[in-house]
Amino acid sequence: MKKNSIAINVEGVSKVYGKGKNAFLALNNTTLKILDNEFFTLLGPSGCGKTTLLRIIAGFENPSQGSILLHGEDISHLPPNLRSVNTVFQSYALFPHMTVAENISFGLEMLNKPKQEIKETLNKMLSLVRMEELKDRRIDELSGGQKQRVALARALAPKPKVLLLDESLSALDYKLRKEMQIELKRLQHATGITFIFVTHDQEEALTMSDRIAVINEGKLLQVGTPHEIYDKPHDHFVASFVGDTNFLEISSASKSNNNEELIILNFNHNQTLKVPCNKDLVLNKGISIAIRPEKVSLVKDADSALLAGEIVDVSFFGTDTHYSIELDSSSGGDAHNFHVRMQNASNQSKHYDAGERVGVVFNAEDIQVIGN
Amino acid sequence: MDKSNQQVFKFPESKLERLKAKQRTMRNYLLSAPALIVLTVAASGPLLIMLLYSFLTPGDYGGVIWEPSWEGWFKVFMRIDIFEGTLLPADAHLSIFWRSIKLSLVTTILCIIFGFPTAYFIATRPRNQRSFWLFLVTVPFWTNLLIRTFAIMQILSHSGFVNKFLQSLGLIEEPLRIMYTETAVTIGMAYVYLPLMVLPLYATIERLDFRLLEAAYDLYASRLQVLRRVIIPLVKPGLVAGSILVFIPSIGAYVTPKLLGGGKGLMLGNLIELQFGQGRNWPLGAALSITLLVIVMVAMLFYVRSTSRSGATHGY
Repeated sequence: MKKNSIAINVEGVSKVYGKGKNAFLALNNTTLKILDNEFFTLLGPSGCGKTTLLRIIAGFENPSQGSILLHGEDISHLPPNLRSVNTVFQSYALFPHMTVAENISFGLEMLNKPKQEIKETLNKMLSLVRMEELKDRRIDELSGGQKQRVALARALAPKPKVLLLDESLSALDYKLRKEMQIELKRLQHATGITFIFVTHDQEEALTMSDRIAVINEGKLLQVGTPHEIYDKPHDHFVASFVGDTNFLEISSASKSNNNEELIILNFNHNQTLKVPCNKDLVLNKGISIAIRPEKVSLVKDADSALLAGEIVDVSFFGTDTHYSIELDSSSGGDAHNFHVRMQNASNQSKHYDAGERVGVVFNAEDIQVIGN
Repeated sequence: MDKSNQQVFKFPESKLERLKAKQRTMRNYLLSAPALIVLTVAASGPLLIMLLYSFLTPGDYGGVIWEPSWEGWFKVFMRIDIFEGTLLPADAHLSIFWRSIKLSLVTTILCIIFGFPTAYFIATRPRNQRSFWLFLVTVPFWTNLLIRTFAIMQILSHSGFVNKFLQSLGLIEEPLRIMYTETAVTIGMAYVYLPLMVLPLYATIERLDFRLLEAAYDLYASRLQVLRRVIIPLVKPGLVAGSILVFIPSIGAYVTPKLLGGGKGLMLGNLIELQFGQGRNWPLGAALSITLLVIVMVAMLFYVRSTSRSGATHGY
């Protein structure tokens, strides 16, 4: 299989539930390309439409509009049993009347594979998910993590072209979830199957994905690598949903002559800052800038810094220290609670106390300009 | 069980505590006395009387004479030819046994065929509509069995609804003879006992995790395979319960075969009734009753074994 050929094409897919007045638009005109061998994550809050999209790809729902292509073939109206797409369900949905081994070989049996092949694949899958010793166990004798692994093996056994994972890790406790995240990555590398992973956990999305699609209220907001999503969020929602962000409203700004830079005027003591911005940015609609708390640092000299304020809260986390700062009203809008995260990289790292007046400094490149 | 629990159940050590424990046991027996009395007197008592009567001599005008005799049991299975005095199997009884078992099995199967889709339909309605459909299923219970059976007689009769309908479609020219056949008995019993199949089936289908069906469908199972490999194994407890509830009253049915079957459709219940009435052979009637009991118990044993084998793995 060639890398970078398109596995799944989502073309203008919309989904409407209900009719007339009660109609609810779960997914709005979504277009996406998911590549072969990719670990692709659909990220969004619950009820945003990410699971709806997954169910449309799996075939449990028909799109109200648009189509789904699997390796270029339109599968929009094929039933789930005729699609080479398997799902790992949020609830695992393992068959309680079958053993671990029977669960894993179910898909292969339904495909009428020869007995010998079923047996070989079963053994391969059991060792892949490290469940060899438990193959004759009943499902209700398994722990959450074991069920998770059986569900994975069951979905992987028929060698689907695409594996869908619906919030698959959310039922596990923190430590197990961390383990399974690594396990999932390993399985994806080992099998070379395209994974489409649905989650509302932004941290999970960032650590595991090759690319992420952020969805909110049925709309696809941004698609990109974890770095792009984190460092260059296109809009307010993406910036706030993925990681912590400080937003500053910009009250006075102008654009540079070539239209590619924004000159922000309203900083401390009328200092200005030039930041790169989108050409299409419209100034009069109101703009804000997003700054990640770990990309700023504090200085003693409040007057010469871009922003100045008073520390209202300090929390020590060991690896880093979090400060909450109430900015001066002159320095940019309503950010009463500006977060700063400073790494304690060395014992000589500077510490500040609550009540101290500090300046906040940052680089222009670390700022993301967001139009409203 | 954790350690704190074990301590709670530790045996009392002092004499006082032992005495208290004794009193507690006494009190427990006293409290359960009503249930024990009902079980022994009301349930086992009549059965023992029946067993006793089956080994007595029939009285000339019904009742029993207190002389032990094997005649009742003998006549269940054997008869003596009137003219030649040879010993023959009681083929009339045996054919009635066979018919009872056969018709009850067919009734059970019919109830599954019609009851399963009905129960599935109800269980998949929105939650607030289900009680309405269940209510409809139980409506027939409000009417006396006799009246319902008479209604069926009207429907199946020579000029009844079924014949009129088939004739109007042009499928048949002469009205079919349905009444007073085994078919009529089976239709009648299936109608009467259908709710007993629908209700337990509904209870299990309602608990069915429908995501499992999606999972099977996702793993390349066709609709038929989903039914066979996932739905049926998972609703088997309900299927078995429903079958027991239909089979047992069917095999002992009395009113339905009497009214719909006439002389040809005689079943075990009717045969027993005959012995206590016109036949004036109470020991034979008692022996037949015990035989019916044994048939039912064997059937139950079979069902229980089939559930304990597969039902245990269901995780419910």
